[in-house]
Amino acid sequence: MLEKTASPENQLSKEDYLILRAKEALATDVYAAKSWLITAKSLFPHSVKVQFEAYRIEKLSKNVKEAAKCFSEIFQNFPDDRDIWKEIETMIACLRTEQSEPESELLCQMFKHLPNDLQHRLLIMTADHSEDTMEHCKLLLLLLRRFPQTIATHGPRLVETLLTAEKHSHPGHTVNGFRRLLACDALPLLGAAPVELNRRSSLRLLIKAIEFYLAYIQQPPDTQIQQPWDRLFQVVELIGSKLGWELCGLFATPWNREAYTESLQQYAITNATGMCDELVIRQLLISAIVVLLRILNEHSTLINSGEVTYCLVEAFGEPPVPVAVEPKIKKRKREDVPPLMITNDAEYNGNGISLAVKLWDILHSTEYLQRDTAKLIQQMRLDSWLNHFLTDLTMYKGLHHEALGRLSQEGTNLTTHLRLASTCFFLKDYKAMLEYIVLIASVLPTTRGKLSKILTVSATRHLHYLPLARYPILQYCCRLLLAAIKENFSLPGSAADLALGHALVLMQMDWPQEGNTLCTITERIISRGAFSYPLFQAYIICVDILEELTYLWTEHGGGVSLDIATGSGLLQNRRITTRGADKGVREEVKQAMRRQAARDGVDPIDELIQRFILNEKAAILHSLIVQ
Amino acid sequence: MAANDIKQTLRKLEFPLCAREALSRIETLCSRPGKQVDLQMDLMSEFVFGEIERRKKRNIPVAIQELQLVEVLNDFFKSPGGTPAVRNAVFLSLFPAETPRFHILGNSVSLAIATHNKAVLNATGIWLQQLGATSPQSVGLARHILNDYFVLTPKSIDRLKTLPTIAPYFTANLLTSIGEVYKDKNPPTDLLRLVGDWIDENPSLLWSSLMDNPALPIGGIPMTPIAPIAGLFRWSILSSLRPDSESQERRDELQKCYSKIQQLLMDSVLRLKTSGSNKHAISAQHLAATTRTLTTMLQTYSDSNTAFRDLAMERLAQAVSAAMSANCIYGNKQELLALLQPLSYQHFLIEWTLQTYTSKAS
Repeated sequence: MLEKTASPENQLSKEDYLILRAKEALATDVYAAKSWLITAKSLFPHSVKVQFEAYRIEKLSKNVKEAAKCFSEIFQNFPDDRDIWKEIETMIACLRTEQSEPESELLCQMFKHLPNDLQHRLLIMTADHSEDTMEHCKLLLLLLRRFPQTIATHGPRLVETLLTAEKHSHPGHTVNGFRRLLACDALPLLGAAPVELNRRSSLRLLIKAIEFYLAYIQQPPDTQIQQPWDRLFQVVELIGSKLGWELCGLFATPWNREAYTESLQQYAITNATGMCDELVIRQLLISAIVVLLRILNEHSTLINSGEVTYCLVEAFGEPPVPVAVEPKIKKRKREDVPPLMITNDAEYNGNGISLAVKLWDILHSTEYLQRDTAKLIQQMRLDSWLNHFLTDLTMYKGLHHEALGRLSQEGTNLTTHLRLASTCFFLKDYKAMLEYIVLIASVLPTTRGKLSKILTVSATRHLHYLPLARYPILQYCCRLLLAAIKENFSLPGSAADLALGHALVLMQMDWPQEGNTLCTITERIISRGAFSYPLFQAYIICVDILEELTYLWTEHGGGVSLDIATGSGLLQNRRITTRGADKGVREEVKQAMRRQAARDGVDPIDELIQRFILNEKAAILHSLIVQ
Repeated sequence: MAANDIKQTLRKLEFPLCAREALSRIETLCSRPGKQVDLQMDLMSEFVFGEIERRKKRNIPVAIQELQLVEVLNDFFKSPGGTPAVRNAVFLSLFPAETPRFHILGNSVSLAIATHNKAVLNATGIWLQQLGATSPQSVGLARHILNDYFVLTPKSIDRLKTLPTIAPYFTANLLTSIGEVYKDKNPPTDLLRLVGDWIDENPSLLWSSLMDNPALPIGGIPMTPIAPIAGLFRWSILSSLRPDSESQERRDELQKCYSKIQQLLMDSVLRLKTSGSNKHAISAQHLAATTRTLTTMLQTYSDSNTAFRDLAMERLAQAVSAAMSANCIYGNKQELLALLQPLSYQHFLIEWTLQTYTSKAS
């Protein structure tokens, strides 16, 4: 009777034995298991093993609250225990990744049930324990996010750590993990918290953030940072408000390029007298640069959103048809003509470039601003962003010489050649223009594209986004040549005939858009009474034009003498003329006209024009250059 | 108003109106400095309980009168006005320790439970404490309530589920009394489950009689509350040794219930350690009595299953060690430890408990 039953095995210590009994009971009766552990706890209040086992059992039974309580108790009593530290590390790792595995979810839940000050302490301690700087910073961020009241103490320290870490690990690379944490996480937190930051470091941080986002946006797109522009604007808003910027409110409004530009312009006008005030200049400079870049970025995205890319060229403006009535109306008419029009064959009207120019003008409105702008551009290495825009800017401003200079450095590609041709045209360097057009015609893209109907608009000047496709490119080249050649219609002698003939060939490209020019040409031919064009049979196939010429040839049409010699075939060495011709010759002309007309719609016009430009370069040059 | 005038006025009223009116008068008297205790007693006796039959012709059957009285009592305590202290004083004098009115009291409390009448329940809680929750009167009241809810109308047990949230102080005292009702036999399974759920869902229930101060009239001395912990420990400790005719499966299931109660009790005791310095949660005598009973039972059923014997001793040792470590035992601890001494040869945990606490207790 006095024999003891269930006595512990000798090799086990008392506490181990009690834990063993708890573990044994756990399988069938969790209450019994817990009673054993409570007993163990009361007999061995200083045993971490017992408390850890209690924690383990609560965790196993998914009692988040109880587990949290056990955890706090262990941490309080045994803050140096290795197992509890392992557990802390796992828990913090779960918090960081926020995975949805049941185990890590349980730990996250448990963390939330810990007393606030313990949560706080754990985050700080793990952050301090962490040997990896990145890890350290991420943990501090976690702390700041969960305990905004700690931002004032730990925020500035975190920022300093991030800056130093970046300097050591990624010198010269704007896009790196530390800068990303700074720009995407730390600054928004710091900016939104009531933390004092001195002006100098605020500005420095803001510029760091801007640099980061701009560099990130320029990289091949990834989805790691959603809406980078919006986030950048948020940072500008928050840090701007810390700096006391009047403009910071603007950055909280939804993006709209027109509205933003309008507000900045308004600000510049309102503060025109304060343009030597550091506060005014700083905010105007940084705000305008950021908005300018966003507009340019959006602009190029919009321009290149279709299947083809576009290139900005100067197209043609024409004065309004003069109405010969009262001067009053005339005056109003003139007002209606815009000094500069921008057109685009796609849906987007291309006005981003005008807004960008407006902002650029603000940035260069005073000498002081201009100097600071240049400094900032250099500091943030914005050349690559702005290079393209600056070329567009020279075109926009009609600074053709400058444009030529910039374009000549841009290398040899279709776009550059088109723009060079455009520039040379406006500089009246037709020889060079022709050289470029020949280059262009030799490397035409295969995409057909559509003819534009708005190459000529009613405006003093006209910039056009030309689609880089076969038809529009050829059309534009034809228009350039045509416009240049027109100047030589009234030359004396055979040079004029050659010019008129070339013009007839070129206007076929987008016939009948240049129908008016045909009238001018026929008037000239009638007044000269004769028309001789050796390339006639090779290149003129448009039925309308052929009919008009045939009509001129008839008695009724003026009996103009046509000399349409061919360079090849049966009629070699013979000239088909109509003056005083016999009946056989007449018949031959009719036949020739019919043969030509038969090719209309059969001979691809783009190939014909391409051939014309490539093969008849010398002849074209002849009609462009006045000897 | 003179005593006679009051009586004359009341005599003009029919029952139960006179009872209701008499209660109001008693309340008024009770809140006055003089109190006129004798008059109060007279009014109760004549007009409330109808113990003095002056008017011969009360031709209403007794059961119906009783029912009407129970309703009047419940309505009166629930009615607005009056301070809790005065009302509680009235309640205590309506049901003094030595009266034959327990039947009415029991029925009133059962009705109050059914209708969630907090005023009556709180007053009853105080009544239980002032008479001592383990006193024969209190145990009798508990028995009455259990009879009403578990025997007469077993389907209304659900009504009891929320009792701890409605009247924690009453429930805690009632629980102590219920513990005594099943001092010598195992409680019915439904009750066992109910008690387990009560504690599980209201962990502070076990000490709420210790923490809350009852609203007594000025000068009233609150009696020492007795927490239900020791009484319920006895349930779990002795349960496994009591012979019953249940199947093994059913026994296991029942033991799970006891196991749960044991754990909840242990947990509560351990919480006392951190939650405050209440040293009066468990009386040493209470545990000592259980130890004596256990010792006797171990001798009586010496041929019983070893596992059950171990379980009983194990739970006793668990209870003592937890309570000792929480330092919440009051009274003669030496006696308790001395009683445990012989058992230490039979179970290691009792031995370890003694090893740990003998020196501390002295």
